Amino acid sequence: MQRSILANVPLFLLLLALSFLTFSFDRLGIFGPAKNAVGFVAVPVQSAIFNFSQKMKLEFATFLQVRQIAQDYQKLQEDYAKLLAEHARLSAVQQENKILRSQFEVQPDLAPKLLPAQVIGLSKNLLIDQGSQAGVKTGQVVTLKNTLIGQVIAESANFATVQLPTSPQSSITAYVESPGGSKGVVTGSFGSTMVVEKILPEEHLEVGQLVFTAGEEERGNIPKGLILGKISKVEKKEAAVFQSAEIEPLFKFDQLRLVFVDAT
Amino acid sequence: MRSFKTYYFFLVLVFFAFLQSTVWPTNLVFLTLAIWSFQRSAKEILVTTFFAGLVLDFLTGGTLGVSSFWFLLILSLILLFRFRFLAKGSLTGWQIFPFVATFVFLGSLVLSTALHSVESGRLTLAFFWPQLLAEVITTVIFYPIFGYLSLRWQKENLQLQLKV
Repeated sequence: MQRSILANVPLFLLLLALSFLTFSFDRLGIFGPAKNAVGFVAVPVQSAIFNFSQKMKLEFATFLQVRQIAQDYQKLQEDYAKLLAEHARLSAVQQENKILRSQFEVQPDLAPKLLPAQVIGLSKNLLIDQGSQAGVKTGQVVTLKNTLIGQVIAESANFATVQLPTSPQSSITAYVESPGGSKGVVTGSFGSTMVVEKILPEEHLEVGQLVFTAGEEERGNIPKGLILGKISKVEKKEAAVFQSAEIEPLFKFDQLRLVFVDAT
Repeated sequence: MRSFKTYYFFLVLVFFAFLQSTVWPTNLVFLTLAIWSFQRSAKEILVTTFFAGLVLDFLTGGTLGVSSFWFLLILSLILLFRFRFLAKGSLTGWQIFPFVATFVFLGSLVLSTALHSVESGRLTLAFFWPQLLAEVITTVIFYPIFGYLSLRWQKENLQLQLKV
């Protein structure tokens, strides 16, 4: 056995060197066309696998969670009633806003140019079926219904990689929906939730409050006001300088099918 | 016959690379290679590992060569040490499972740390505990399937002939 390992040492070193060379060349962008060619073939397959799994998940979930679905349905009805009331209130505010805008001749902000993209995979990051050919660039923000889904960290010709806010590599300035608008930094935690940290202890945090992006990144490409999630747990210690809270995303990332890239 | 087996082996890895990049974030490719590195020749494992790593990087949109590099480093350790457990071919089937699981666990630990750290440019430890747990559970679930396939594909597996 030892002999067989020793006999393969030259092969092992050769492959290791090849891996390192491939890594170096890829960093220089030499493999761009090859990646695009593979992506051209692989993306439809990935998309098909992902859609099939989503369909199967949905079928099983429906079968196994009938009771849960009934409870969720009841809760949704309650939420719907609340939203109707909120909608009525906001309609009045919108009307008032319109009058004020016309009074001061202020033009509303231009709507962002949103590029629809289908989710084709989820590993550590999200994969979407739009790439540089469609105008997707590194740093662009991916959203869904005014909620931040992530930020593009790499793009190929026909697909792109999106870093989720739940990734431990993610760090986003944020504020909490509260009278004081408590500001903090949201980082990913264990790949499934987020934590908002560095909030002063006198600020009032409670479960259910929404957390929004503050748009104060150094790179400055995450707009202010996108929803990150809602607080699911508050951690406040007597002696601690800051308090923190766990944030649950509004969408389950493994159930996303369509998202929008802010291509403005 | 050997090339036919290797071809099949590689197809399974490509299929797992697709699953890993789309719906199953567990490191299936590494897991498969780790389990099979106890059962197949060193040369076959090294070559397949290199190409499987490349396929995985292509499909996940990562930098090419990173997975191959780390897979090769970790699996070479398995290839180096497996003789200690299997020297006389006395351990077969489920008997080698504790060793496979231990190597998969430790390998995943190193692999997750290495890959996340390369990606983020700093030592990243927080992400891998749930992933490790998932990988060990997946090992338990998958091991009988791999064991069955190995027995079907190589009768000599019972005595683990590890000639090159």
